[in-house]
Amino acid sequence: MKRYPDMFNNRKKKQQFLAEIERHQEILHSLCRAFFQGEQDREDARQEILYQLWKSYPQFRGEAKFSTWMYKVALNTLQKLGRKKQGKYETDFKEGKEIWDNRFDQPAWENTQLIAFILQSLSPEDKSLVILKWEGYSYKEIGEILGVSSNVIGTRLHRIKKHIQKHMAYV
Amino acid sequence: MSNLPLSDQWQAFKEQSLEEGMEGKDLASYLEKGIRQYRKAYLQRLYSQLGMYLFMVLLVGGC
Repeated sequence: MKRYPDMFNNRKKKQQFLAEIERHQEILHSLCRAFFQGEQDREDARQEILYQLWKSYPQFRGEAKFSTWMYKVALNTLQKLGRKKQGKYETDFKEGKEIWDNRFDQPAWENTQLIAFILQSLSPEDKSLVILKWEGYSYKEIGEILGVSSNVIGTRLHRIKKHIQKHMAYV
Repeated sequence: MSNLPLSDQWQAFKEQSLEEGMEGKDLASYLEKGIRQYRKAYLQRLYSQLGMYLFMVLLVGGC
């Protein structure tokens, strides 16, 4: 049986951890929103991610940026949670076409419908990949974060691009 | 995807998510709830293993 994590009651460490997370909390909220539609699912995901981050915090040595480490733990947790709930959400591609057709009508900062729709139509693994790409990570870094060979990343991104074009631009 | 402003939209999505997330519970309460749940699950597993061990001891002792 696994040993009981002894840092559960370390108050000072907990405060330090929460302060770090608070500085990067947009990652936590945006990833939960990207993976789940319902507020209850998002709340469960936030709780699970925070716990997993807390559990692996002692292993964070600062070799990578805090945000990169956070993406790694959060995306792995979300992929596990997402796989359990897969098939629960159905994507309406007719609605998607309308959003796609109007994509240049409003500036990005006023309209996040398109990105929400694209994310909704992707599998947990593909979602993780495109999010890291939009965050500006290189193929090598994405491979390291997701535990996938960097050679595979290009192929998968190409497939995702085709998927988006097929379902949204030409339906 | 480079010909589309998707990374810009992702940044907007992040900002919007932060605003929405800040309206909800604070991070400490999420963490406390998670820790409580895992602690409970850990103790349940521990008690169940101890119960099994005790049962085996009684069984062997009774024979």
